[in-house]
Amino acid sequence: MKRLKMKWSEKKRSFRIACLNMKRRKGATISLGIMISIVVMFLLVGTKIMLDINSNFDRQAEEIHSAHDSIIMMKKSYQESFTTYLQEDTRIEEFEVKDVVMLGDAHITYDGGLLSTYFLFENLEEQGKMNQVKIEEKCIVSPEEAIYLPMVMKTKGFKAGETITFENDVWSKTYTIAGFFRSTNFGIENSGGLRFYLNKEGYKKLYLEKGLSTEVLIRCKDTKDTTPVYNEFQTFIKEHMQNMNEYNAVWGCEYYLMKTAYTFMGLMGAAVIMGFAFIIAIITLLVIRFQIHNNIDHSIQKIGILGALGYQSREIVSVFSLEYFVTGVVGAIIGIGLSYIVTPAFGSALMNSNGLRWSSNMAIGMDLLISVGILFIVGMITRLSAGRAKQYSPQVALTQGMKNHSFRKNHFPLDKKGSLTFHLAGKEWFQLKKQNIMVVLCIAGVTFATVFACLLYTSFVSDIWLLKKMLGMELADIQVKVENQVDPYEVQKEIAAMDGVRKTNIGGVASAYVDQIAVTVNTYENYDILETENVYEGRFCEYDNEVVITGVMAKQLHKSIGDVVSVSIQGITYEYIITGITQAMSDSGRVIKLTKEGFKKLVPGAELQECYIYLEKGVSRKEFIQELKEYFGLKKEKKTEQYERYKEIAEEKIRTMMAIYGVTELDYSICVDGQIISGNSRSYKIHEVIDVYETGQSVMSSIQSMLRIVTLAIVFVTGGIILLLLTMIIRMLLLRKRKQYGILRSMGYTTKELMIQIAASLLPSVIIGVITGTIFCCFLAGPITTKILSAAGISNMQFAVSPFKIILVGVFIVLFAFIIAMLQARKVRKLSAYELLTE
Amino acid sequence: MKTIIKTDKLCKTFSTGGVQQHVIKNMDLEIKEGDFTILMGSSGSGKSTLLYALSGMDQPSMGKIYFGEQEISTFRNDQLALFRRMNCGFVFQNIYLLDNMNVLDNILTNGLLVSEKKKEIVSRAKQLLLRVGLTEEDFKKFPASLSGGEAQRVGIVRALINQPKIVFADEPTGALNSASGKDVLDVFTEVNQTGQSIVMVTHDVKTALRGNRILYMKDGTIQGELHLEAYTTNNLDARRSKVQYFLDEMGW
Repeated sequence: MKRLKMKWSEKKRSFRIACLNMKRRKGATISLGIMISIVVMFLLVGTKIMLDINSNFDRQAEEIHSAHDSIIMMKKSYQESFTTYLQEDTRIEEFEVKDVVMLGDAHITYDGGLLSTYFLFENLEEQGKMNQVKIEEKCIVSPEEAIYLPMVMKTKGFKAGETITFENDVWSKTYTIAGFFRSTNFGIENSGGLRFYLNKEGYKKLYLEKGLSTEVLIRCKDTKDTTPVYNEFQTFIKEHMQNMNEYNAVWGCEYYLMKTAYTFMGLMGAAVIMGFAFIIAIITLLVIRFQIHNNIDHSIQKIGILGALGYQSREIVSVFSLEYFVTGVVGAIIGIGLSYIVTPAFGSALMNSNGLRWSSNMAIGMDLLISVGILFIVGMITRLSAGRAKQYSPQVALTQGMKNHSFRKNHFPLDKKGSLTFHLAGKEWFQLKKQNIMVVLCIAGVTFATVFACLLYTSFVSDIWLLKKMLGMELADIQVKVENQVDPYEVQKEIAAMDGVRKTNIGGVASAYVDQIAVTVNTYENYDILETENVYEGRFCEYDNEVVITGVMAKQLHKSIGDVVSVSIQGITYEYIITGITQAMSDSGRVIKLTKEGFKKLVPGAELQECYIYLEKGVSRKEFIQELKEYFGLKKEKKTEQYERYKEIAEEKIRTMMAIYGVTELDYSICVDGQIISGNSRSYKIHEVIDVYETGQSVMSSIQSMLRIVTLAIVFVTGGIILLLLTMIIRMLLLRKRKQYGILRSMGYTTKELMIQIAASLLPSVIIGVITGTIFCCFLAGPITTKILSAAGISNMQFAVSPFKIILVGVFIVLFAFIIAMLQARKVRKLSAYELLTE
Repeated sequence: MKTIIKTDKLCKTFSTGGVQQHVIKNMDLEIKEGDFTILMGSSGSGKSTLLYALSGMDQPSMGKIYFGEQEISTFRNDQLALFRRMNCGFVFQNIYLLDNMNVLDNILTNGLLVSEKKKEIVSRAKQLLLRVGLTEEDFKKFPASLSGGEAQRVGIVRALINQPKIVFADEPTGALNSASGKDVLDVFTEVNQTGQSIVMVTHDVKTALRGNRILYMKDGTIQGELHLEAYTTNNLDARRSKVQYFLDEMGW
């Protein structure tokens, strides 16, 4: 009991001294507290987002009784055997088969570009049990014109009461937005499709124009079964398809892929935030260690006095470690509090961008766990660092640690060449070597984070070349879809002869299976001229038995270059040797490449029906598209219904002539009721011209928005960390070297000369830190980003580093640090030589 | 003799917790060129405060200080710094050498501030160091390796390197033993004999003997003044008696 009482009174004494020290070093304590609270806040925000974003999606999917799997096909493709199959699958809880209108060849203006994806339209008044819809922000619109959009489109600038137009080169339809709804099934543009609702009048009009498709919605008893159920059912369907058209028309999405589409951005942002928090945490721990050592060295006489008075070494150590532990506790509490403000704001911003609501549970347990973890590490570091006080006996401490033997070197001797300020700054640098090593490490850390953020920004936002290369598809300037019965090479020849065309290529896209995994097949006539498609290992396929697969698939299948995989399309299977590894963000990386001959083995008689056009530099894409449409007669002309009807009849006859009688080209004119209707056969050669750049923009825009915010946040916080760090160091310098500056002042050194000396003494450390951080980032940025983006199909991220831009970032950090150091060192101006010497 | 420093109703007041302490009160004073002026007085009489004010290390609360024709009492910190580097040398009781550099660099830190002629300054520094009794081996030593007397002699050389118009010394022998203290005082005497003006604060009679003008301070004013011949080792006893008598009259 007596021992306990003694221990408690020891602790009280130490705590009192620690509090006095904290009060005396208010500035440094506050700076450290801020850094700890930033670390705790970011770690908590990142962790909560990472943990909650998935459960948020699951919760909201349950709320609206969302389908787990969705498969869409041509209406005529649906068979009774599919219903039997679904009924017999015991993993399925319930399923619905419903009619939908599907547009696969239209686009809308979306987020500054064009969005071309599958658009599904349903009758709002005939909702099934699944995917229940609640309309928000209703607006009164005539039933025929009304359309209801997924909430994500509101964040892209769509407003109730405004119009939205679905169009392609030969057709367009405009609706008025009557409201929005939240959806977890095809409610976001990168899920493979977008679902809309129409009133029954509008729906009827649309399906009469465009026909119906069939959608099968499935809910599983256990969400773990959604992927195998989806894959197996899709395989079953495709085996029953009558032809390639029907086969290729089958598409859909399963639950986990859908969830990835919704949560990927958020997870990426959270991962970057947490990575950043770890860097700040390391910097904070380094600063704590430095501060403790510095305080011990500064207070060495006091340690001697305490020792002489009878304080035990463990009590002296606990004085130092308690001070920082208490600061850590306060910082952690503030950090937890801040995270409760920041997380909902950040989470809402994330979820709003997905069209869903954010709700976070009060995860007190998680908060305490992370905070206790950080405090444990802080406690360990402070305890280890404060142990330095034990090495001084009272006698040594009282004589300020004077040693009998000193082998000090006189660095930067003043009698040698060089300016006085440069030499004095150099001397100062060597005198505070340990502090400067800490500065190097801290600056290296923040430089790493800043350069990383700038690399992300440059590669994904300002210059999107890298992003284009990762999408896994060839992004020419323009893509033309050739009609099925037309010779694509003829069309290619015609286009290649046009002014402004640099080169052309022929390609195609189809669905296939690789070892039971549903994949997208990209095929090209000529792989040598591709510009955005690339392999990072091996080479492109050249022969009919070769294939290129993605890194994601290679990992999944445990295959590598030289191994063989089976590729199947509609029951026909061949084996192919893997010659190269690529990567693709589309379809979560489930993409393969074949040669034309390799593809034709699987689909005999097939032709590649896409023509990729690359324009000369300076040629306007929009103008060329206009020219192309005029040449091929794809201009939409708004005429009367009767005109359109007669034109349709005439063109049907022309089509027949071309198909049956082998007519390759003709022009026609007919006169109906005094009106001349004219056209030419070229309009049957292609059915769509796609502005690839505009289409790509909308896919990339959400990634770009997220990265813009994250980059800004990192640069802003980095600047704040440099400011805090240098403020703390210079404050400590001014305190510790007060007498030295007083001596220099008494000799006649002006404020400016002292300021430059102080700032210049830190400059070498800052420069070394910037160089170190930059080099590490250049080597590690690729592997780190690959890890972050692996869920999106990326397996080999390589930044195209522009040395000039990287150097610019480094120079900026050095300049910023120097300016901050000069501003902080300005505090020396307030003190006269007398005050510096006598205080 | 020419007047170097002149004060006109010089006042210095310190304020602590709202309580004002008038340390120097309406002082009119002249320091002549070539004089070895001693400031004496009991503890708290304002000697060091006066020294710091006259040397431009601190600013007066009221009154004027003239250095030659220049009024320095209105100078800001940086102007005072520039004034000090060109005109003053300072020797501290606690010596205050910079411990992160060797002896030679301690001198050059001051010397190179005024002149960029490095070779000339280095040569002068070495000559002065040898003159005060240090060896070439001592040039490379760090302050922690010097004895108190050696360190203070380095402090004196640092003060003299720029050939200042006046040297201020605040109890330069206060932290030294008597032997070291004597060595230091000998250096001061020697430089004064070459025409160097010195103002020194001390509470030690032996030190006071070295001066040719002793000012006794009490309660922030100059209570009395004693003029002496230039210091020699001859007639030391007579000198001592004269000084002692003066101090007794002052209430020392």
